[in-house]
Amino acid sequence: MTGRNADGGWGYYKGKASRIEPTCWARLALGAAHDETQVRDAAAWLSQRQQPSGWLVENSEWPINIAFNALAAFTLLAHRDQVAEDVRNRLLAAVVASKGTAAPPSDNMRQDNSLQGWSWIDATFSWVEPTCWGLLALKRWGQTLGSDPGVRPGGQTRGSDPGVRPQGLTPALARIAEAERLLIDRSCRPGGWNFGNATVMQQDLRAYAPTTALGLLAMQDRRGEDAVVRGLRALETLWTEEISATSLGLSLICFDVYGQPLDHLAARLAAHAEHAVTFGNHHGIAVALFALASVSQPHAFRL
Amino acid sequence: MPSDFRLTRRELLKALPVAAVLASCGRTPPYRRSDFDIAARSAVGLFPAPTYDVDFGNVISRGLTELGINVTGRSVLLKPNLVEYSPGTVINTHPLVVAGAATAFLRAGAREVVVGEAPGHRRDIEYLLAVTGLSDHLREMRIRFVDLNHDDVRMVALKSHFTGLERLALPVEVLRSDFVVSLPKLKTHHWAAMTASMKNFFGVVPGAVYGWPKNILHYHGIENSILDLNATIRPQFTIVDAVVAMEGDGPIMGKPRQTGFLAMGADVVAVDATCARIIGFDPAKITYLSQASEFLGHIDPSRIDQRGENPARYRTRFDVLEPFKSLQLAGGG
Repeated sequence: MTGRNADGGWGYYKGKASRIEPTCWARLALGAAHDETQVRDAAAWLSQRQQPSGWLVENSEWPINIAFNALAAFTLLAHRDQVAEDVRNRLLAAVVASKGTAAPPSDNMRQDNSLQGWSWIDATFSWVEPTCWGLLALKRWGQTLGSDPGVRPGGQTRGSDPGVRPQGLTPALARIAEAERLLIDRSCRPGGWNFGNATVMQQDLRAYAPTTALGLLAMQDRRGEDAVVRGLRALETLWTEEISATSLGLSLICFDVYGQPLDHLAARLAAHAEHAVTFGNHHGIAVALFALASVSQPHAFRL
Repeated sequence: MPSDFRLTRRELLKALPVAAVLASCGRTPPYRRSDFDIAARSAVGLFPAPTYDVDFGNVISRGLTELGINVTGRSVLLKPNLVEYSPGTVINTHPLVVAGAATAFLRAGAREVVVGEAPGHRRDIEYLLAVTGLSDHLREMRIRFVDLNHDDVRMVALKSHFTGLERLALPVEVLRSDFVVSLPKLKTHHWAAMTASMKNFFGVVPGAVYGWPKNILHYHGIENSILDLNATIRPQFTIVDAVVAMEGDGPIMGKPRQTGFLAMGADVVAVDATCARIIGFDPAKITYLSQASEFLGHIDPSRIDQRGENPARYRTRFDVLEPFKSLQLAGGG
């Protein structure tokens, strides 16, 4: 809380300007710690960023960060009581309509460049992290609507009558399906995900723990997929090699969702907490806090 | 466009904005000539460092003295090349070189030395700093590290427009530093042929604005982006870690190559051109160096005054990917 800015948001580090990503994670983390009264302003800060287009904008001169807008949509779906439905729906509509560009095939990569997930900024290629946040937001939305029994998380309908789907859901289902194909396509050969190229110049690239954990969270309702099985296996090793608040925190959230043993990882993260606070990255601290406070509880990432 | 996506020259030109195409045709340079005042001659120093056991504080101090660098009372930003970690590889600027540079600049009277980096693939800087060992050195020396991917940013008007972009968000820490030092690793690069002082400035573009990778730079052309970033930031000095360099499929998957020196100078173009010749490239054939020589610095050896060791002492011929063999000097470099 000492890192919070007077405007109600959080910067990446103390004293830095409020930004969407650390504010979302702070909202998620402090919500999990049942600290609601102190962090209501975070949702307000996020909704104040909204433009008529639906996007949340940090600065009108900067490109819109699509990944963190999808994270914001996910966050505001997790705290629905704190923001007007119209704000959330316009943001979700913008996320649904946004697509990374397709590119021609390349001999240097084995990936399918025609698949379109989400990009970091407009008019660029699709990458893993934005696609994970797009998937998480839309699946969470589907789950929210899924109190209507015609919809279930993962983007499939049980009812199969498109006429009764809530407005905007049909295009969202198509986006989910293509984004899942993209993540499967971009998974690294030994398992897991990096920023979004599994091979370059015929060489396999390494997966990273944070993006692997995010990929698995985004694909948690596709546990039978080979990419998910390999990713989960890869993360068991990756988190032991990549020690940081973000890496350990996201891995812990992921293993919690997948029902994997947590004790060793939770202990390692708890032992790392002091270092994380000293390092001072609010995003990392909030991820770690969320993970430690949420394990074995109902939480936003459990779809 | 995927990261590291290789296009043919024709495809690249198709993808470029009009300004960049005109620039490459040589009609109207995409910058104002009066904004760039290049000294008639540039000095480049080569200093022996056969292994990472040498005292880099002393080597770099000698370089600053011989090259007449004055940083008294100035804030210095060191920008190393911290990309990725893989045991046994030489992807990153060695932390001892970074520590040695910090020591040398403090010894030379700098008011403050900070280290800043914004890796383009791995956004987890806490992990990268720890696993590379750099955080231990910085903590021991009480040197502040700035996470440039997540720093506050300001939109800046670019001083050249090879990309066709007018403005770019850049970290406040870079903009307010009095003296920006590129601190790269010398490597081959599977898209730009070679990476050293100039290409290193991809690593100041903030990921929290543009993403990971910084795809906007690929879309507008890697070489164009190198030019616009260097024209705008105008680094005041460079120290190239060429103790053990990388050849082959750099900048990540290549092989270590012992080269045994540090290259230094205030003209980043001249330093990179000197490094290019040493590893067997003709700098005039590397597009961004050739274009930079028209407004940012020198690549012509007749305009470069050599300090320290003679380049011939280190001259070699790096293994390069097939598409770059045509950029190599005839006769083995």
